[in-house]
Amino acid sequence: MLLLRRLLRLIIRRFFLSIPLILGASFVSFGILRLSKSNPAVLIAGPQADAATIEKIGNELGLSKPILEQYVIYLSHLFSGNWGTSWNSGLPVLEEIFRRIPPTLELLSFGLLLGVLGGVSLGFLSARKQGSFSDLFTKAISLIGVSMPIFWIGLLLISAFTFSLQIFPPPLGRLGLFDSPPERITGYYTIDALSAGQFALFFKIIHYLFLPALTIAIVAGSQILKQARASTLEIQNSEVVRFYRANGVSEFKVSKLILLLASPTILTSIAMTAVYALAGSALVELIFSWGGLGQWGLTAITSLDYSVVQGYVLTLAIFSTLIFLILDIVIALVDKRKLI
Amino acid sequence: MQKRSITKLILAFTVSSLLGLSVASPVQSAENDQTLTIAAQDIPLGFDSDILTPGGQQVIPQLFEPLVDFNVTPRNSTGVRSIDTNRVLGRLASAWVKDSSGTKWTFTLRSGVKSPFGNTFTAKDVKWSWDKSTAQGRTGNFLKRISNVIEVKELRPNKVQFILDKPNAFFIQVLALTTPAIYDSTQMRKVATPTDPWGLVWLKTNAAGYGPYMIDTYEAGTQIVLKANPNYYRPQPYFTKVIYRSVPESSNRAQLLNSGSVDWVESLTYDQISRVNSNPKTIARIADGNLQVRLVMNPKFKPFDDVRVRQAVNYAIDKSVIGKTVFKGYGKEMVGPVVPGFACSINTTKYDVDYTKAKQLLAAAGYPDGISVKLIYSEYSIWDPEVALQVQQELKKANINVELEKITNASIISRSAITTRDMAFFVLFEQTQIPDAGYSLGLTSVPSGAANRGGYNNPSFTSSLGAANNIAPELGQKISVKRCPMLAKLQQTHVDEAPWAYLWRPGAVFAMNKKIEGWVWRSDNAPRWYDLRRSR
Repeated sequence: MLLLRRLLRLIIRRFFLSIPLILGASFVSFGILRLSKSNPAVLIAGPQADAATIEKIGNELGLSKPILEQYVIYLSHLFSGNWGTSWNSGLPVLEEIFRRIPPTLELLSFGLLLGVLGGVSLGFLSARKQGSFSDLFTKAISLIGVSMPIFWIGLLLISAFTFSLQIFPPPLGRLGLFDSPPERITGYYTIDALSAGQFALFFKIIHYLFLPALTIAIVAGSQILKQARASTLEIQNSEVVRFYRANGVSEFKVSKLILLLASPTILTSIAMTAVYALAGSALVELIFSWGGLGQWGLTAITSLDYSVVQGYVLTLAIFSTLIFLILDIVIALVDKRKLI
Repeated sequence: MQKRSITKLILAFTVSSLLGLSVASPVQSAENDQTLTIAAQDIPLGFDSDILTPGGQQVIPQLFEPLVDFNVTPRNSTGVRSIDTNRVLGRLASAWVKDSSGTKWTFTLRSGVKSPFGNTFTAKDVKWSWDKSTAQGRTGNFLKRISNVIEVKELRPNKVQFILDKPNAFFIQVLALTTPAIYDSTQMRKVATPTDPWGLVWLKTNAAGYGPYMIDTYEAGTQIVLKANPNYYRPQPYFTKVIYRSVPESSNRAQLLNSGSVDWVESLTYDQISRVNSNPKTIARIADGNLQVRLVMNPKFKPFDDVRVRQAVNYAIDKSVIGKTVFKGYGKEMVGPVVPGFACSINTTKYDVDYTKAKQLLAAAGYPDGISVKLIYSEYSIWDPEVALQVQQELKKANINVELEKITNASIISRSAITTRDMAFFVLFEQTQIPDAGYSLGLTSVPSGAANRGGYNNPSFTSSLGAANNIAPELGQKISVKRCPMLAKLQQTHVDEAPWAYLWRPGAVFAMNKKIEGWVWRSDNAPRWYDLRRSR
């Protein structure tokens, strides 16, 4: 009971701490966009628009008002649930965010799952066999994953597995040109296909999902692997582990202990990687024509669609905060001293 | 032991699933006979012809039918068919006459034309559509203004009259554009609301035109599927379905075409185009097009306020080097401010590369030791960074030291807009949709021209151009005997005053499966899918 109360207190404290963080993110994204020399009214008006038209559109968008006033208006709308409308598409930003979250989360969760499984297990095994060939091999793999840009990895995978070996389908998004998506229930194709009993379609969706997820997994997994290896090495050379071994505890139990003691650092690394992957997945989405939140955000940045960019940044900030909140809870449950 | 068995089972399942899938769906073939598949750069963000969005420029022309259209030329020596800039033919309008003053144009509308919603086309639709563009004050209104239209009158259900305040040389050509599009006003009135009288919200995801295609499904940012409009007044298109899928990465688009996964791809780099051409199953068809890559010099800023400096820049660039290195030999040198082939265009070539002459001009302008300038560029076109780099190398030979500054695409468009124009020297291409020298110069070279990005301002040039553009066209005549000499003189003045360094015309390149036939180059660089078919 006491534990639960303390956990609740932690959640409340973190929640209130996250408010200034999210507000800060909203202010920075708002300010940076406005401080640029570009005028979105020009882009919206089109290449043949005259001065009067550009000015008229600028006024309609409220761009002639002082920046601070624009921000106050933006915040008041935000709190009333109005995240604005896309200047390009005219669609409500919040509605679009909800529509585009499932493809992104589906991709991210598969990618992270592969990355976490691969990264943690390889990192742990590599450290346990320090100096062996497999350790060196794993280190080399992680170096490649950490140092290569994510879009480059994606393009290499497409070139090799799609167009050369023809194992995976072309980067046309979540399904092929002639495929019909499952009936929308959650927006997550895998879940929707399974719940409709469309198993052939489910496997097809997985097939399309595999390469982009693998791209994320390679990058995320490499980061996690590095951290998991370092933490395992540190713990396995500690006095606690030496004490256990001196007392004749079996190697299996020692391994479990090492994993338990290294878990807070590994979990933090997973959370950090998840946040990076959330932002980095935008490029993966672009390369694989995924049509999710990231691709939408990137397009909005290049076309100066202010409301969309602000909505995108805010969503990333909220997700990041959520990820760290979950991390705090998990770490607190693993290491109960954090609740004291 | 049990754990190992479970692990083996999971592994076997995963491998067999992946192998099974790979056999079941290798790289898909696009050759679904009457479906055209396109890997696009962008998907339209709505279907309002007055609000041009990336992708929209390709899709919207398929949904709407213009009053008139350009005639098509026979194949040229390279097998390309283009629009005939001097001849228009009727589409939604079956005939037209103008009065002797050239300010009243009366159109007889085609009978029996129906929209996908089953509504019959009448003069009401034309008036409603032009009124919509006027109310929006965007692209359509701009075209209305520059073609001197002041009113659109509905005379009878099948007769509509355009009233101009002055005669206009290219008014009829404006009608061949997609904007202002002709809407099914009966349908649009149904979807309009008191707060949205023109149905603009509905147009974000729907369309109501009289074109050969209608929207089947639309997923913003991902894909649009069009199907043939069953009520189209001309014979049904060969491709009864068009899948237009967003593939933002150009190397993926190229590979999709090369592997036969799609029929058509948009926007490739020149290296990718070469690979498309080396594949026996694919082809990049190239028209001369209307793109002009130039360096813009704003005479408001030093040292470009001196015409001799601007001319020196022109003499100091070997265009053939740019053509070879940047454009890999595709395209042609620019020969003046107007695209060759446009009505009343002339070849005004003047600046053959001459570094000595360039140095002399700089010395005469008071810069005997050369000049140092900043060249701004972006990635607005795939070739811009390379052009900037090559220009830097070239100008060095004439003691013009160039510092390069890269800015965002949005910035370069914004800063070169009519309301700002704060850059002295920059790279930006131009594309004029109406194939007419007078229209082109009006857009790019007078102070009120939306595409006059360097702020060129010569009052006598502006007034002469106004006079040339306010001459009524001589219908049926290939060359305007009165107007063309006036415009020729203006093109020569432009080259003499050199507000641009005239660089390169990269051509319009369209990459497709070799079996796709019927493509016609149009000045909006949007192929009409109605023209296409698949050969056996």
